[in-house]
Amino acid sequence: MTEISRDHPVCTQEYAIYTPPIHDMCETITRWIEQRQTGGYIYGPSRFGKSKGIRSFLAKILNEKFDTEFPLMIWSHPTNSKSEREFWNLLLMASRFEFKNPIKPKAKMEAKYLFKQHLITLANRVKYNYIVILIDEAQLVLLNEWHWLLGLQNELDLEGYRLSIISVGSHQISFQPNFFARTGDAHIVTRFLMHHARFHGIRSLNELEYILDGYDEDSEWPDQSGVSYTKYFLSDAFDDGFRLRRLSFLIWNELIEKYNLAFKSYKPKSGQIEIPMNQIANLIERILKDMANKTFEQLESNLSSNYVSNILIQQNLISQIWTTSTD
Amino acid sequence: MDNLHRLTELNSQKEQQIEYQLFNWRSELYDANDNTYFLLAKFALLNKLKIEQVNEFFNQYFSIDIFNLNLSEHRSLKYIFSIFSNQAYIQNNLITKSSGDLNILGIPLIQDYYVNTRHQEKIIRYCPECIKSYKLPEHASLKYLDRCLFHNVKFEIFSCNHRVIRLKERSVKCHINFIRIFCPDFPTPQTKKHNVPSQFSTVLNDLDKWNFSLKEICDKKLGKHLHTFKNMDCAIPEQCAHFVLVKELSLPESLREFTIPTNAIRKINSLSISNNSGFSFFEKFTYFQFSALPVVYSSFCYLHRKNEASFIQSLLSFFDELKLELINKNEKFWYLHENDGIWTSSDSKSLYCGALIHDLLIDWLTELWLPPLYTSTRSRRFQYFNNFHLMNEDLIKSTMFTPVKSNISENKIDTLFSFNRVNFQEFSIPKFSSEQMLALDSMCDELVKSYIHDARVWLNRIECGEKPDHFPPKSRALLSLQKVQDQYRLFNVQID
Repeated sequence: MTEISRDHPVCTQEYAIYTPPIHDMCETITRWIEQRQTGGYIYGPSRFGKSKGIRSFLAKILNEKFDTEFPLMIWSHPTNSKSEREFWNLLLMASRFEFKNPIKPKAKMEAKYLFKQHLITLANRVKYNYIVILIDEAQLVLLNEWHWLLGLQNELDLEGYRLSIISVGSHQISFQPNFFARTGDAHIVTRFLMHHARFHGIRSLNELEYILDGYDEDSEWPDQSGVSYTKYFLSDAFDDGFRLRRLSFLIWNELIEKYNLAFKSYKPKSGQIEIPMNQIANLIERILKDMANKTFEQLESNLSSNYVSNILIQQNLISQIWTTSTD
Repeated sequence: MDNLHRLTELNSQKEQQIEYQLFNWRSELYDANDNTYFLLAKFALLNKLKIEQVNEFFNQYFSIDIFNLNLSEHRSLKYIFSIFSNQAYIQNNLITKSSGDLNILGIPLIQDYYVNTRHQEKIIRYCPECIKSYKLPEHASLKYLDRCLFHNVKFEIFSCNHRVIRLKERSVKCHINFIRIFCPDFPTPQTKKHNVPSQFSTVLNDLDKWNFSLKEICDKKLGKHLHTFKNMDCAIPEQCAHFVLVKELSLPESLREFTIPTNAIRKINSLSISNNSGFSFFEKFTYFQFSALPVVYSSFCYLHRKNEASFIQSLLSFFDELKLELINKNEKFWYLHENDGIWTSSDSKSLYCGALIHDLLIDWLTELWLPPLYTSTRSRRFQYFNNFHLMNEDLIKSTMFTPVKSNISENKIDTLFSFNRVNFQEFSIPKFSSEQMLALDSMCDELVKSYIHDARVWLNRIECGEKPDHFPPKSRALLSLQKVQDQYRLFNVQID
């Protein structure tokens, strides 16, 4: 019996599975980049997997698409930055700038200068004149900050570099264009918030199968071992032909049932089911950990609709679905 | 799913790629011909770093101490910057090879890149056109070049006040100050791009080749330096060496228009002292013996071969000429009061006193060439003849001179001279062959001519109305004895 390591990504929850919504988001961002849009935003309820998708896959996909190390900088916006000095220093800290020092923040102008030069360096090293800053949790970006970014974009423009700001955030971000437009800051909207796309949850059995494939085949730990997550936890059963994909129908049915239960008295406008990726990941993690080292036969007998339903209830899925769908 | 193949590929890679850190740099800021310290200054400014931090960075990642760059580290730095800039590294002989130290007629000239580019002086030479594109070509530090090879414009000079800069940081810091003053928009790219025209790459190649082979050419053309008999006062030695370098050391034709103008040099001639290749007379003398040789030998010539030695005749004729001139002169005499260095003219209303300049010149040349005629106050005479005695002693040690009173024991000589040092006494005589005397005669002839020329120029200026402000006359020539391919030659470099 193999002992399960506590360092396994499934145990530490430090992993990402490529999902169809992530794929759609990456495709949208790629399209905006190809069109050299000055900005755009992606919105979607929290816990749907936006941030993990961006951090784990976007850079790789862009590098592959443009066949170079694409000049992209990802910044997760903190709760609030109080001053311009703090804002530029936060951006500088988030960058790959060699000489940043969190203990000794730079002066406002110095931090801005260094950050601008850093963006130019990113573009220059791959002979591009285009740079993308992706702001995660962009619903927290304040009007002042949009103005500072606008100034930076103008300065880079003068030097011959195009800056694009892609924002990713929860539903609140979609209120910003309307608010800015009505309060005399329409130029912010036209620059950064003109284009938009929604980040969806898991919407079909097919998508669920795709995700389970990720656990079965397209994941690996330790590195270069060729051992997928499913194989690591359910080694014997995996060798005997067990795959999580086999549970897709069972899981999907349970999810639908719980979803319908949640919306018994209320139907969302779209009428389409959207399951948060976070819920699916938690469910799979629980199954893998509970069933670790069990044989094929034991799995066959244990993995029933009741078992899945119990986990979903314990995870409080109904209220999660309700919260995120009405976000 | 159509995307499955991509997913497989992506996930097979390490999930969390370690992102290495980046410093700020722009490829257009690199130029293969840029001075290394200038590149470091640009790096420091672009990353807002202190020199200490720049050093820390290069030390940590590349084990290079920017405070003490040697030739190979200069080369490495240039290579590193070419990598930073995604550009091919172009080998440049100005930096990749060292031509070694030159000795131009006794003036040491260090041609090594790492010494030349280091900030030793308070100036930075730059091309006003190159700097517009944030370039500082390394050939700007070669002082024999007057114009930029890329733009054919005269180099300008930036004076750096580095009093508050730590010594080891000066090379980079002065370049930083230079950029701050001359490039306030740095690093914003200039609208007009700096391109190196193709013909200049040939010139640069010629410079590389020539600069590298300078040592060889110098050895071949100027030979080995033995002694400098007369230094130049009217030009700084380094400048004089650069003149010689440009004029005498096979400068490629393509570079001629870019070098310092050498018209300040009136002529450079080399006088062959001996035709016989087996003649090895001068090898025996040390530095002090060389210094003593002209005065002791000329003293001997005055006493024993006055009519044969033309340089003695030249001196005596010049004395006569001065005396005659003085007799014929009837207005505006200049006097020097030697004790306080005050010049007074016979025109001035105040009382004038001191020595007449004609007399001064005679005394000066006598002191240098004719000890038997030396007359001065008793105290100065004692000092002078004491010195003359020491010179004789020094030459006797060379075995080329013998003491005159050889039959007197050494102690007795000392006693004898201590009493008589206020008057001239011949102490030693040379035991030269006629060939050696001929060689020395021709050398002294050239030296005396040079001194007389200096005196004439000085006197003429005063006669033309210039107020004298120094004495003795400034030397306008450099006379250096060299051994060129088994032949002794006296090089005479004269300036106008």
